[in-house]
Amino acid sequence: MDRPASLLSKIGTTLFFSVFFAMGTAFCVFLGWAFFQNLTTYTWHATDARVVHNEIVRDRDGEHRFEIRYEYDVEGRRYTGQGYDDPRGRGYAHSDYAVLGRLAARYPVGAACTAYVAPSDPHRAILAHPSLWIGLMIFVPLIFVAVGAGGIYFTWFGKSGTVQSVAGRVRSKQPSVKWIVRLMGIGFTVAGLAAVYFLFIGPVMRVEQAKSWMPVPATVIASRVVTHRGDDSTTYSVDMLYEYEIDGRPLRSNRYHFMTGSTSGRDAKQAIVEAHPPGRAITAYVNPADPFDAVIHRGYPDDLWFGLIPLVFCVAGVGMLVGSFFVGGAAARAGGTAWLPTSHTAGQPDAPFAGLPRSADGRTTLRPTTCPWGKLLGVVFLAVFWNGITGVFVGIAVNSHLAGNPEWFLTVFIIPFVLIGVGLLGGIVYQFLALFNLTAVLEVNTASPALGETLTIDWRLEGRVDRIATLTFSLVGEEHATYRRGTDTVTDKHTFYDEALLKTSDAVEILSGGHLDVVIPADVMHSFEAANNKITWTLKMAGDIRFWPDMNNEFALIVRPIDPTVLWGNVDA
Amino acid sequence: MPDSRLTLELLDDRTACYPGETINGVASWEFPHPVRRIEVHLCWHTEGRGTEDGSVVETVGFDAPTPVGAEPFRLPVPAGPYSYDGRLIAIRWTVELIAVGVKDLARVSITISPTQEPFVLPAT
Repeated sequence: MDRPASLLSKIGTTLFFSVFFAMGTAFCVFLGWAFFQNLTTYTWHATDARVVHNEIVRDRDGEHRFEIRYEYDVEGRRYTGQGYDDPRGRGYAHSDYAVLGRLAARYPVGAACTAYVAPSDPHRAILAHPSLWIGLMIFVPLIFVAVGAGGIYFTWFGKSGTVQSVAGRVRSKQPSVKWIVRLMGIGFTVAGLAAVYFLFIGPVMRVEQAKSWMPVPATVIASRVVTHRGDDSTTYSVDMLYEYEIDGRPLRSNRYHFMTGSTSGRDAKQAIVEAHPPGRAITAYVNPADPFDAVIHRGYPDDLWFGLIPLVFCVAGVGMLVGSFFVGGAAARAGGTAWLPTSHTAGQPDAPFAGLPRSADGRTTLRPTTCPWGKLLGVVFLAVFWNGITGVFVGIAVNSHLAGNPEWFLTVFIIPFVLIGVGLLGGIVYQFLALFNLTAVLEVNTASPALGETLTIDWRLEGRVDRIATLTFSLVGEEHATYRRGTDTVTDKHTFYDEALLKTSDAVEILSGGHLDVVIPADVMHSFEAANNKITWTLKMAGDIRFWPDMNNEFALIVRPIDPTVLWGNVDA
Repeated sequence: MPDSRLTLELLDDRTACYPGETINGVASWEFPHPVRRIEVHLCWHTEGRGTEDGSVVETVGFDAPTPVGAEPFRLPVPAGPYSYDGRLIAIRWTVELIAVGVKDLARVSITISPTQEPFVLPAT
């Protein structure tokens, strides 16, 4: 049952959600104001104008910008405008020179055009309305505002749950962490797919399209390596401007290859720049459908594979989506014996082990609860995921040392992650060796004994039995309680019963197997399974093996409550 | 306006039962206005460290009851789960009387086990 939170806890939770609320609100205000500024330009008056000057300039940072001046008349007075789509009158900057080239071609000197003039200030004018897509971005910080406001509200005014009936609590539909995990999984998957599209699929499609582009002679005008300094690392990109002619018209482009963004490794970029000094004659490939669209290296860029890194987010997102359907275990089922665990081979709570093999005398052969292949695949997946992400940062750190510009903070920070990754690799070796381990086979008279009943077990080992030094066999009862701690789901376990059934180092006994009669105590709790709370009974067989992974087999038992008719015959109906 | 009043009385005031028995009792109520339906539930829920689980095992319902009235009920007790007090988990049984559309309820905690006592883990 939920306990009312203390005042201190509520204040702490409120502060936590206040950060979300404040940050989200600040970004909403910023984006909202920018959207409003852009929207007001749609009320500006259209008037005839004439271009008097245009050029593409390169600023001190190497960025290219389209600058234009145009003249227009308002109420008999002549004005000169400079803004393209910026109401503040600044030029139009873009990383792709082809975009700026198209603008320059669209607005040649002397061309007539339409200017949009601010009614309150005729000095302010633009040629094109700014994009309103910025308005859609406001939904992102709105999520933070909703999380913050909702968290504060439910902290102080949420239901305590103590007044409702059990029936009411069972029937009411409450927000579940499963839906939060599913939303996060969708977000991770969508973001990962979008990143993969822009960083990998898009460039691959352009490379394929460029196979039909025309080769034309070109001349390098400028070339350099651009350094991009981030918070944790430094990356580099090639900035190269070249000129070519199409139908007697000089055109320029700055696209070297189809990979966008910047990556680590300065040396490769420096080599490209040194091979393309200013004045060098080269071959450019031009899109026949758009002469402004050109590239020098139309093959697959060496760094293209970095564009697959966001797949990790897709994998994580899909994993969260799939995992959210298994969080909490079995759903609460009404009535009957729905609280009795079901085996994974049968879904009938009253016949929990119907799917297990039976011998001619009706005995049941138990199967281990965990499959060694499952453990191996699990640790492989975890190692690939962990080392995949860690490897990227290790590469950045190593490259920084090799380049003579060591990133010491990153180097020290990454060490514990590398150690965990090495441990996971060791885990793969361990689990692989465990595949060749011994297997215990248990034949029982029943896989679901009742309290007070006798469980007869015939056991034997299969495989290299001679390697076992000591064999232990025990009956274990455990409580499992699952709860949420913040955004994490935690399961605590407590062993309330542990009876050693067998402990032997006798090689003959280990080799030949044996028989055990185990009386299930009548004064202990039977098996129980609900969505968040479980009581389990397990037969555990462990074998110490020198210089090899130990054998650990666990076999689930369902311990039933005492049959009421056994206790007192005809029960009052 | 007078408040609603709901009352549960178990036969012989028995709050401990064996699995397989039947719980006999009387549900009585007083409402200031008519209600659509009254239900008596036999349900279990968990307490302790884990997130609460619960289930309604048996329900006896009375449709369109008079605003003031009383009705006997019989609830068959299942084989389990037993009432339990563990280190991490506790399992509690209750008989509840609720009316649709009314916040008030009546509740009696009961014990279901072969010993008529909750199973308690020994101290370790």
